[in-house]
Amino acid sequence: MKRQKKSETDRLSDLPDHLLLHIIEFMITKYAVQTCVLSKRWKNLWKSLTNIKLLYHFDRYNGDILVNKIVSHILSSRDNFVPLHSISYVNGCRIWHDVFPFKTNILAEIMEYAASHNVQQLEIDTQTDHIRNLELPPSIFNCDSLTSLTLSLRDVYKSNTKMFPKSFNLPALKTLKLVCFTFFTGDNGYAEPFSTCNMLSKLVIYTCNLQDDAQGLCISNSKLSNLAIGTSNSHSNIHKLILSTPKLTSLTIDGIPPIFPAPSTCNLTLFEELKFDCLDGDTMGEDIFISWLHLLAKIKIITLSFKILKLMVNILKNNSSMRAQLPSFVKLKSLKVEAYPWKCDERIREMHAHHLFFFFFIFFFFNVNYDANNGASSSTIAISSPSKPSVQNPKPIIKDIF
Amino acid sequence: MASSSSNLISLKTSDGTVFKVERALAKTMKTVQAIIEEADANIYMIPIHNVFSHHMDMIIDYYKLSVAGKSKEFSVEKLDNDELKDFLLAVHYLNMEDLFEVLTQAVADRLEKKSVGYVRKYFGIENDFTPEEYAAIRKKNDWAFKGDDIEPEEDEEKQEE
Repeated sequence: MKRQKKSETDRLSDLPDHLLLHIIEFMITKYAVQTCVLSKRWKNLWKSLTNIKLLYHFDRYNGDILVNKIVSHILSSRDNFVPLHSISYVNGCRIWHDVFPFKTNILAEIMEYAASHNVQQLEIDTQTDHIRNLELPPSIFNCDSLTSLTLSLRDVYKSNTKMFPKSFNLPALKTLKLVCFTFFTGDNGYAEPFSTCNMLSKLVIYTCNLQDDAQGLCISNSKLSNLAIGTSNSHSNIHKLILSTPKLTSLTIDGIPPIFPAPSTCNLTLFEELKFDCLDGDTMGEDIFISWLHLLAKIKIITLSFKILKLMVNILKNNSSMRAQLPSFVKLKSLKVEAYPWKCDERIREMHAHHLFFFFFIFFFFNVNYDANNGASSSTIAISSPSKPSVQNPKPIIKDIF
Repeated sequence: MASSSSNLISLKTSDGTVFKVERALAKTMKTVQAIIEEADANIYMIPIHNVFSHHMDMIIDYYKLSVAGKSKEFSVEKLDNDELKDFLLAVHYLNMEDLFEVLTQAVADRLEKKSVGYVRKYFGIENDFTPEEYAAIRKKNDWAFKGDDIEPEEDEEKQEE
């Protein structure tokens, strides 16, 4: 028995170095570095890590000075000849408003290191209220190797945004996520920040603004297939959205209900999915609401947060002329309503209690063309919550209603 | 390839159980796939050493979930650390990329905040540092140990030496 145990425990050590390294690649880098004390074989293993993960959480804010030292050490101690695939710096600590801003170069240091080491994926996500005079080095915006970039630099208390560079060169960029940036206005009076990113296929813009003289935001990318746009506060000044994105398949609206009318989608032949992930905000302008309703009527796959569905239902309840002019949702193949766990258990129960009525209302509201002859309709309606499995609406219920 | 029951491959685990699995699943096991391709005649039964039937059960679970697009629902939470290690080695032997990634992440998650002594035991690592060498490397990388609540087992370790 004992002998068998011994050979079992030895077997993990029989794995070659690159596999042991592979295991520690998944750790937060600080802990991966700690493996240096395990044995001589492990002493320098961590230095060959190709992914650097720096994650800090709410309950551990010890002051950025400590965090910055660790980051600095990791960058300077690792093996410079080992290619670096990704750096991820996610500081989830809540920094209070009474923290006095201080000068720190750590974010610039990370960005410059990433640029000079041909990193492919860079993610920086942190509150920035405590950083004085944050400057973004131009090297990161002129990087041939970058395929994925996330910059979320949030001034929570001052609601400041950073200026996104007017010109930049990221030829390989496929995924871009930007939070809290302001875009320059182009010569045509619109902000068209990403048109040079020819490879861009996924774009997320959150809580971003335009300059005062901009008429709107224009997204023109030939390969873009997924776009998410939203804002967490009502001070956003994006009042118009123009899409020149022939490969677009999916559009998501996050945050508060949209403050801009639905973009024209007549040239978007692949466009089939619209998601409203709105968890905040209680109002939507009437004209804006009508424009989105007309867009919804052309969409195949719709996902609505429970909150925005409620908002839509309320607006319609109070507006009989709008109800009378409801478009027909002829293209609808799938409607999903998502309730969120922290608000949701009573809601889900509510929904089950008013099951039939609720679905009836949805059908009435969406004026779905249910093909009664073809019983095996491919339309589905589901209510789901991330923590619970989907409650699929079975076709028999639909039949009962009608 | 021209055998009549070509859709199912028979795999025999270390504890003697025979599993008939879909060819598509066998394809995700590069080791098995290599055996199939190298065989001249039709191969009836492929023995897979180091893999037990409880491993195959989980492998089949994972396969079913990933085919249904639900690979994120696969969980190894119920396995204790040694069972997880065992499973990782079995999947490594079979050379199954996706599942191997899932399991290395799980192992990394579990080891992340464990003490030096625990991790040594887990990997079966012999401490070949002298106490002076250990102290030196620990001091040099002291910055990586700051701000932690890891149990300081290093002192016990040094005393054992």
